[in-house]
Amino acid sequence: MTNRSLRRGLALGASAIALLLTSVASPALAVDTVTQTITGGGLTASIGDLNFPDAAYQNGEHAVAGTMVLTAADDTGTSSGWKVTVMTSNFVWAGSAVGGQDIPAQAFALTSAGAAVMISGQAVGVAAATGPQVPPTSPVGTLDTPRQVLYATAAYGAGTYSQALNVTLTIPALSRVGTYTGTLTTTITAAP
Amino acid sequence: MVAVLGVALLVLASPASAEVDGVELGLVPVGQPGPFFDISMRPGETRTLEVEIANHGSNRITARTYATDVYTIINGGFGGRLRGEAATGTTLWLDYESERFDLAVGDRSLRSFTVTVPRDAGPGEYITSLILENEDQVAHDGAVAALQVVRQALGVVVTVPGQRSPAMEVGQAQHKVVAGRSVLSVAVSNPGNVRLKPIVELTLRDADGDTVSQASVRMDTFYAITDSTVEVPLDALLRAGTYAIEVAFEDVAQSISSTAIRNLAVVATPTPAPAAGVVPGLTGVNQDDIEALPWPAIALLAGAALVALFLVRHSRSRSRRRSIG
Repeated sequence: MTNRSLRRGLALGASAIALLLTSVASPALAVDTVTQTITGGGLTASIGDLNFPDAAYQNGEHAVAGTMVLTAADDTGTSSGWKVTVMTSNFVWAGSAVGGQDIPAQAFALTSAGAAVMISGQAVGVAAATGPQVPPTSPVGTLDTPRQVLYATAAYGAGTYSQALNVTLTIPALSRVGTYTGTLTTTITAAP
Repeated sequence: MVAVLGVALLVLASPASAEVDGVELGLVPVGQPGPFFDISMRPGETRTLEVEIANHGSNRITARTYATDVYTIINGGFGGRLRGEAATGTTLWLDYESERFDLAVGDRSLRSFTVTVPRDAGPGEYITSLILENEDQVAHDGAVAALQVVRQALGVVVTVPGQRSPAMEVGQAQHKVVAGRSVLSVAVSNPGNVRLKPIVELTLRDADGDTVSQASVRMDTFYAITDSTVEVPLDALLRAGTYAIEVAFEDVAQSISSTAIRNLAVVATPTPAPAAGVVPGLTGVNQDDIEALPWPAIALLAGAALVALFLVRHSRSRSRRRSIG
């Protein structure tokens, strides 16, 4: 057998194998699969739209009422449920008056917590133990310690929700003129 | 002269809200079937775990992650110690250093850490947590100012196999006034080695034994070896006096229940009036007694009745005299 005929034989053989492979592969190509991966986002909760009026100096203790809005979002895509707590630090005084003092954190209290309102995502479950909802025992109380204001059980709370919170700050008697700044800590939790 | 106190905390205008909204961090366990770490380990065992940290927001952010102790908040539920607070107990089982880092938009990174159960650890459920938060408090200056920390907490539950010993104890009762309303609180502790979710029934009785108020509190998770408080805000201010609180708790899943009675002294305190309007979720108070009656109105009605009686008798007597005449 000459080299030429040997090359021709090899080429024919290769063509036959290629044809065979093509015929075997064709059915697989006919059932192409499309895979789309969905990656999850995070859990977020923060306070916004905080409104408190300025307070005039008074000799006696007095309370000032305000409002704030909590926004909680579950973009994890897992619907595993979550819990949100809110707390505050002392209100640190800054000013030029003589004898200014901080206002203790326990002077800041939650006076009511509204129902969750859906902004986007899964509807608010109206049945018990679904949510997102206010805990069954009112979270009303001082915010020197964390208060759970909203939670969603597993399979609920996939979306973004807002909640109106009413608060009051009891200003001690003879509180000096100045600015009192507190730090709000909002925590959204994935835990038992 | 009226001076103005800039009560700072509390006006976050839209610009500040937008900044806070930009804090969208992600902290998720890797290779876990649930939303938090829930693992079983034996004393002396070490295991390596992994967590994913991400910035899902639309701004570059400096974040901080750290491990912190878990405690039970009022009426049950997760409480995580703040940044800088001392780590104790189960948190010391983790090798997870506090770390500050910059995250670009969309950044995701994995961080591994180890958990080592001490050789002398007894059986039971142990919990600690990982936190991810904005490093710099979100601030908004001006006539009003606000600072905010936005945290995400991830539980790390380690169960050491062995005997389970659920338990719950009741401590002292207290009364306090918040925003012009009474709040009842009862100290409770979980000295056992498993977490609970008890239902606590509170019955408040006055010195005559009459029921003044009743409440049922479904506590959220009450972690093992922690203390907490059962707290019930009332819709009115309790009168000064001596009361007794009956505290009955039950956790059906853990097969424990008990009842205790605690004394409560309420002292009259000058306090601002409660905020106007109905507040949902408060517990009713039944204090209708003789002191609460509207005495001025009653005196006015009694006077009117006496005058009417006099007029009727006077009229009858005149009629009788006329008929005799």
